Amino acid sequence: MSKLPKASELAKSISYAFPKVSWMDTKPAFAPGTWCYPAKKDTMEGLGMPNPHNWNPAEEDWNLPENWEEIIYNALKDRLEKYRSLKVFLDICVRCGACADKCHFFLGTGDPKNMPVLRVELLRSVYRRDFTTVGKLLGKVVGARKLDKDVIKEWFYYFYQCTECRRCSLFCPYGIDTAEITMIVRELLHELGLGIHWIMDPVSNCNRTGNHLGIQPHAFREIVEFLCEDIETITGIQIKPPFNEKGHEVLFITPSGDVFADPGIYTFMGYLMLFHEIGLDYTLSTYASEGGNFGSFTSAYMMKKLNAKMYAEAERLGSKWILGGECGHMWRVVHQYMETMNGPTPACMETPKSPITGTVFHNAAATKMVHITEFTADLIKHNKITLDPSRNADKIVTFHDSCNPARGMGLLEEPRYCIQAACENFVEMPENTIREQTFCCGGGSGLNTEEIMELRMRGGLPRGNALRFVQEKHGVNTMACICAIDRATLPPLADYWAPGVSVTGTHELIANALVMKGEIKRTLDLRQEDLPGVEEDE
Amino acid sequence: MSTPQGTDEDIRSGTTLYAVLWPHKEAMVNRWVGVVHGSYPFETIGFLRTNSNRFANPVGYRTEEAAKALIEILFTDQPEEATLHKAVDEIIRVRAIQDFPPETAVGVVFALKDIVREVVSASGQGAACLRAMWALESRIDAVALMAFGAYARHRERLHLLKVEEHKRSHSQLMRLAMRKAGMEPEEAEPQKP
Repeated sequence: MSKLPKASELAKSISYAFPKVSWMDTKPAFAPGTWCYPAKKDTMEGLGMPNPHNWNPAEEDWNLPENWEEIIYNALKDRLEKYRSLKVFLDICVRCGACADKCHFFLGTGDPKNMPVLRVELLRSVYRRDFTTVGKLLGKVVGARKLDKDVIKEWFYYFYQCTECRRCSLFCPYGIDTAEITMIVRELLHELGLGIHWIMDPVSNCNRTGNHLGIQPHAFREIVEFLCEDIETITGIQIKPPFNEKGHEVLFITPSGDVFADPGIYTFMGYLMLFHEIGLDYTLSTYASEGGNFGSFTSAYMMKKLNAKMYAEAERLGSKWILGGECGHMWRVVHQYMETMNGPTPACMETPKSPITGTVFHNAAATKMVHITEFTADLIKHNKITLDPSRNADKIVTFHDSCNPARGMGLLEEPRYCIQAACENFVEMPENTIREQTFCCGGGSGLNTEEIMELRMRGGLPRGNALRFVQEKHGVNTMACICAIDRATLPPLADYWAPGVSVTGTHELIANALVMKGEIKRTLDLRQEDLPGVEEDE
Repeated sequence: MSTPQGTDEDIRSGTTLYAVLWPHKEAMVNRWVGVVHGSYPFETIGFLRTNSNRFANPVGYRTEEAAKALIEILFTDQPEEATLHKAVDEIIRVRAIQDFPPETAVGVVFALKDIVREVVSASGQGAACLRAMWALESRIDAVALMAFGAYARHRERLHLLKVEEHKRSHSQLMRLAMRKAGMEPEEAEPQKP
């Protein structure tokens, strides 16, 4: 019989002693809530992914292919030859530690292997041994180690605790892009048939049907029509958005989460109301009904394929340019990778020019795709829409810079400009938690799945902490964002870390304030709750 | 029963619990913070200790705030429940979702007992302080129960988050299904009291 432990033992009293084993020998425990469910074999087969098989992260044996070492060696060699950036990133890190405490997962978990430098070291140690002379000769002395199955498990554990938000890269004096390392390691794991369900199911659905949930065209259309019914209830205005129609100037693409999930639907309603009000010549597509690109969390090939679908549809419909909704990683793919991956856009496309203001978006000359907050900010700047901020007077709003638009494309001012035009009360969160330094929602890069809710709350701590601060100091009750993953992940984050703050897309705020021609007296906001001041009027 | 509340006279006489503990106030705060830090891996402790920015080091900041509030119960006649509740709630909110078993998440409160006993024992005034110690330890027990309550509340919330997220992520599909079945979604919702 064992002795009853003392309270101090249970609380793990302080020990400043050096750990008994080195980081290389410290293995992660695959506790429930720390790993995502594996991708289904069928899904992987359907996508033509390598080595599809059944496996379970909680079990000892992951059923890796027999020649798994050779596969990894060759796959890494291939990437090192293909991507000069990878080789440079692996070689030049001096382990200064500037990135170490910048990762939201490190701050929230306290796990040293979530320091970006050490997370990359998980790969670098293998690279060093197999691909550098000094590593081959000196081994562990220079931080090189042999690849074994535990290393593969460690990769899976930690590279699915990186949301590819790139906050660490901002602080790296060498500009090492840790997100790209994560992308590569996830590719390597895919070579062994290791992927997660929450990413691969959407990839498969997007590939086959056109959106993450795999909603077929007729159902997609019906759901959008529901939202139009709601718009009519609120404004008295009937909107009939075109679907899959050829010959319109603009193809509008947004993440499908805005069509299916709360609170994204209110943002989607906002888009439709805005387009109706300005008389935009646009169409929706049920085939390119997904702006999100979970391929970018899978492999370069899959990212390229899903990105190309949007442009294939633009070509089929003869659209001149694409207007893109509030999304995160879609914009990183468009802004940073697409030109290299997919080359020039279809010949029918032109440099976007706002038909309402005449503004030419030269910044989108290569991609032919304009971010909706750029488009709307331009409308506001030219007084082309009327906004009544008093309809948002009950909201004290702060803005969460979504990582990819902020750090991936420098979109910092436009959303703020839109929000401030539509709202009376706007408050910034502390300086070191916004703009380029923004903290991730904790669920980016395909980690917004509910089985790791606990882990997401850890990763969300720095954001939640800053939100809590402005909630207490300024009474903030609304957090706006410009990303569909944010709209999915921030509500639980706010519920946990700053209960009482609701999450909204920027165009929900715009549409609340939008004074539309021919509208009835507005008494309801987009969520069909009373507008401020309505009760007193009655 | 005497309370930890003391007077200047107590400090001069040096025989009450208050007087014994007062000179060690800051050291005790640091000791307790150290115990909390000690529940994290070695490589992480240095960062928790040295970065004082509340946004760059949220765990370190919350720990310090909790320590300051907690230590006040040693020196205040009537500790203010709301202040204490908030400090305990904020730190347990963090520990409830970190990789700690429940007893480790909450147990750090009890560490204060050991810290106080060490100070009292070293002062040689143990016997004189006995009754006050009883009162004080009961008070620490009350804070520990408060932490237990916070832990349970936050864990429960964590599970509710999953349920709510699931509902949100399928809201329009549910509406579509309901419509096909000739119902409005509201009909499927329970009547709100």
